[in-house]
Amino acid sequence: MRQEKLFDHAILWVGVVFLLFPVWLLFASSTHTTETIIKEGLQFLPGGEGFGAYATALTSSIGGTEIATGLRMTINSLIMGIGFAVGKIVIAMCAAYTLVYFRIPMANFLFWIIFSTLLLPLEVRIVPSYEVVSQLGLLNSYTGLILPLIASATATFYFQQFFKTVPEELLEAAQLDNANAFKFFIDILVPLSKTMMAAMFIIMFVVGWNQYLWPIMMTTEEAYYTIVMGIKNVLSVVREGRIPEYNVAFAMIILAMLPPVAVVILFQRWFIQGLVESEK
Amino acid sequence: MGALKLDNVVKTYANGHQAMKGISLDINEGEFLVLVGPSGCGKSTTLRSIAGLESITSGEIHIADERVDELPPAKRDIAMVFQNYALYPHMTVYNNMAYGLKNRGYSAADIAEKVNAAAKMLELTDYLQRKPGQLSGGQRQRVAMGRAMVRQPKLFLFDEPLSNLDASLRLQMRLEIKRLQRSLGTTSVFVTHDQVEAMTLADRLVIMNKGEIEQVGTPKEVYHKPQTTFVAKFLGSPAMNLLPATLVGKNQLKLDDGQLIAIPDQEDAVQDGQRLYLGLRPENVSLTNEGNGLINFVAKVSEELGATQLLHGEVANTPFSLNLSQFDQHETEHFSLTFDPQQIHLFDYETGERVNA
Ligand SMILES: Nc1ncnc2c1ncn2[C@@H]1O[C@H](COP(=O)(O)OP(=O)(O)O)[C@@H](O)[C@H]1O
Ligand SMILES: [Mg+2]
Repeated sequence: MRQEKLFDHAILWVGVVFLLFPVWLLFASSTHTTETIIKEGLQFLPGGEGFGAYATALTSSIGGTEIATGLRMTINSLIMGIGFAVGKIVIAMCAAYTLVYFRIPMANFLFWIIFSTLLLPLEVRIVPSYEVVSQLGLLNSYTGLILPLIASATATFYFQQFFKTVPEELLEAAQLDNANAFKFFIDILVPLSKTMMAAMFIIMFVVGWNQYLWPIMMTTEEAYYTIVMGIKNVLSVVREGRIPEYNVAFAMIILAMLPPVAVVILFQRWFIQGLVESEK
Repeated sequence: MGALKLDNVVKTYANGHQAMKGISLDINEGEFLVLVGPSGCGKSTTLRSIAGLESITSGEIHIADERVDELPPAKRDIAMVFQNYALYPHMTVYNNMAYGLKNRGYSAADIAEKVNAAAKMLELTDYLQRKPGQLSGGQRQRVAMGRAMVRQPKLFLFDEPLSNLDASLRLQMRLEIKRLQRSLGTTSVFVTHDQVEAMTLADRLVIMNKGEIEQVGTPKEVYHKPQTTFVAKFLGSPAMNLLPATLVGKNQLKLDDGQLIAIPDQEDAVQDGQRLYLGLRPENVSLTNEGNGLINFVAKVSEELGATQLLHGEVANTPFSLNLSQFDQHETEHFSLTFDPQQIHLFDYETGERVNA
């Protein structure tokens, strides 16, 4: 019994170490000078440079002009991640609400059309999407970054399944309480979906934050660069014959990981709270 | 002037199932009407049609002087208590009760006054800031009542509101609902499949079967003068005994094993040789030694209820139950039954309709 437990824990620890080790290597190395890293490779122990590389990563722009500092890119990524997640949740909830609660002609057909967009991820439709966005004059804008990615079959599906579990009597009680369709949605369904929204937000924020291909296509102005693009830019100075500042690049990678981690931790708490309160 | 009137209401569901086959009802101001019947007989459909949660296929529904069957639920001036309460889980008790008032544009002060008054009446004052999830079943039930009460509607509708409660709480809430309804004087329609609940609550009972009304009457009327075999079997526990029999002349019945029983003269209601059911309530029959009574009875099993005993057996090869206040175990299983000839029920064998007065 006890031995089994030890064994379980050993496996867990192996997993934890396996996952965290690369992150630790990056962090430890980011506190060394570029020279040390080039000469001696990745470092296992923190070095003497402290958080200097982080300050550089945040305030100066590497591989670009002065606009795309780490801070600016982080803010861009936040706008992208939040806009992406919030937009997807809003659109998906509206679509799911319509599909579940309104008798619309061909509802099933519409659902399958939405669902079939899963077969058409951005990578497949990137050329037409680019064309549309560029003709709308939305290149180099937050709208252009977020809008084309905002429709989500997955989120619609999840919300649809969730709405179907909401007891029908709640709708009927609301009808008797003189709530119209809009009020029922805002006053009843949205609050009930809190945990679902938190879960979706976690997933969608991370997906939005990690977008790489679309922002690269979309942005030529550095003011709209995202941090995921920035990491690559730090390293791409190799092409110009310069030595990349590895410590800064590593610092930037660590920085780029923090917001998604924060979102997961923050929303997970809501998520679990929602489950524990058992509001059903 | 009736408070609620249903005129030949028919409801056919989209799948072609006819759940209401022409229901007509007239309910008086302040009356407590109970719809009772087996599961699936169309009680909920009837109630939901009155509420406007289902559209009706044909017929008319009037509340007070107004025809309402085309109006949306919120415009019908009714309130409904659901079986699972349907409280808004994310709102406090206060907001649950206040929501309908807010949506009708009452001022905050008005709402507070009404909600507090209802909460006081229902002993919920201490729980106003709690959420439904933090309340017991009985308290949730009261909140659902409160939500219905605050609007002071013309009509309360209840759809099996007690069936999610445990037995003792059900008795308590049953009394409480009756007490509230009496003190508020609001016309109410209450749906249940539980005949005891129906009998105890109702001013008048409506017994439904397969989308049709079998009988309407006070609890006493429907119990003592059931108009059909369905009503006779549905009300009372154990159910009324029904013995197939053939009339001999106008004042004798011949059971299927050949026994003859004298009954009061039925005069013109029946014909010689007519096939009938003889109905006898278990509590209206008593036991004597073999040969001394009117019908031969073979005892099989007895059940102790405390105050009384049930004795199950057979008369003329048909199951027959007795409810006796006093019964001691006997050696023999052959007995004889006596009963008051005034307390018999006669139904036509084919139509199931009552034939005696
Ligand atoms: N939405 C519906 N579509 C089709 N048939 C239904 C629907 N709702 C109820 N029914 C049928 O109508 C009949 C009456 O249902 P209901 O009024 O709920 O019965 P009760 O409340 O007396 O148990 C049942 O046979 C049921 O299967
Ligand atoms: Mg029902």
